[in-house]
Amino acid sequence: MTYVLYALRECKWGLVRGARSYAVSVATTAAVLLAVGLLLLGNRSLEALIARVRDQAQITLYLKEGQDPAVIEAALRSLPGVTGVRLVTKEEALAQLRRDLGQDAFLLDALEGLNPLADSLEVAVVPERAPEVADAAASLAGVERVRDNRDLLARLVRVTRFARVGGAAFSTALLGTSLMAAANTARLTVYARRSEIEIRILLGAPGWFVKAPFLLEGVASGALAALLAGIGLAALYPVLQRYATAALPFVPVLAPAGVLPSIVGALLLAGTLSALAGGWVGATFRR
Amino acid sequence: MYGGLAVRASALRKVYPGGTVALDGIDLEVAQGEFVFLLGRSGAGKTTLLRLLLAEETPTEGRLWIFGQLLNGAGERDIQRLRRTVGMVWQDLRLIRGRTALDNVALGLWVLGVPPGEAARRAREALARVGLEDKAGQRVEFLSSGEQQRVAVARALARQPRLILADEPTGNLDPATAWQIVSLLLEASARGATVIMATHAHALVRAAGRRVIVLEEGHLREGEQV
Repeated sequence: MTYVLYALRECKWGLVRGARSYAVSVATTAAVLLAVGLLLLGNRSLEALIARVRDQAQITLYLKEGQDPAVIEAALRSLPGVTGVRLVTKEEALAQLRRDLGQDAFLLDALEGLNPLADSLEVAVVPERAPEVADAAASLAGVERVRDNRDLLARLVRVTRFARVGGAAFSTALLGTSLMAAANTARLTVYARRSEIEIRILLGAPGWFVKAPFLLEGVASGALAALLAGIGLAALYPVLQRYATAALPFVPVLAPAGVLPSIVGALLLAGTLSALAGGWVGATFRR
Repeated sequence: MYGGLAVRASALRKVYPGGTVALDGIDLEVAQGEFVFLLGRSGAGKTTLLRLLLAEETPTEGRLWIFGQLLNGAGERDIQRLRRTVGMVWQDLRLIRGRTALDNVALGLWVLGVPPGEAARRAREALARVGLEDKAGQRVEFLSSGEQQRVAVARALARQPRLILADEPTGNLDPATAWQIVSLLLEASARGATVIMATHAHALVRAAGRRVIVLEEGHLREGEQV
């Protein structure tokens, strides 16, 4: 207990005395962690997009003119993986298009009462069975065209994989930088206080007694940097949300409460651990 | 081999890189509780001998025991354990700048695991014994060199060590204060601590009337008159 109190006291003293170098270290680490946080946020959004597309695994069949949808619907229902089939008549499709066009709906007046759209069947499927259902549906008589989200999913998965690997590599590099910054700060601090360290050692201090204050200083500065990065992320999030909604309307925008706590928690952990590791490396001295 | 000795050195030799021979075949025995003055001119090897006793240096040749523990080849933990039983007053004082006199003295106790409250109490007592009770809250760099020297002595005494190694602890003090410090070391010795004090102050040595060993160009002569 004595040693813990001592370490806390020395840590406080060390932070005050080395305030300038710790401020630089905290700023560097906070910037790095903010970048890592943004990467994590981007990754989460992509994953959410994929999940949504996957969950919405739906196949749309456009029927040839004059076909009886009931026959095709019955065939579809017999396929494994099909969980529901809904008929969208060409009239309903036109009405939907009119709604979708909104102010531009007058353009449809040029059709002069004709409806160029086809009856369609929207087929809900278990995501894993979607490819085979789509293939089977395409071979049914009376089906003009089949549309599914396989290509989109594949592309998204590729992008996400790239983003995940690239993001992990970039995050690792950034965290390595942060670790080196912490190690350098600890090294500079140790150098500046080398005579004190020597005195403690000559007075018979155990190794960890000498080292603990430096580690605590590292942990405190790392945690502070992570906290600042978390606050920065929380402040930036609404702005990013606005831009993302405007620029990429198809990308689901995650609610801050759902995503920020875990990312800030990860940043806290990463910041503290990298500072702890940096402090350990930096405060390793010969007795 | 041990026989209640605090220090035993056998054919101790220390040669620094560059070939400077600081100690050349020292044989020495100091009993527990004994008070020994270590005399010699500057460069005679007094500081080197004290540094060897604290395991701050390693001997080039010869063997050295402290309280029966052979220091040659001793591990880190053994050295740490030894240092915890020693109260050292360095010639260059080795006080921590930016910290108060009280903190500097208390540091010697924190290292031993003494709880903060008790460490502060004992540190204040030690400062009072060297006449610095009113300077406890002052940062050491703002104290005079004599006051700094007394803080260093207080740090050594507060630990109630078994062995006190004092390298010219009265060098910056007026005769009265110097005698006060020697008296404190004599008191510690009377309570059972072994004291080895390097000094040039022959008057103090004569007044104290204790064993004297003289170092001359790395060689030791026992029982010299001063």
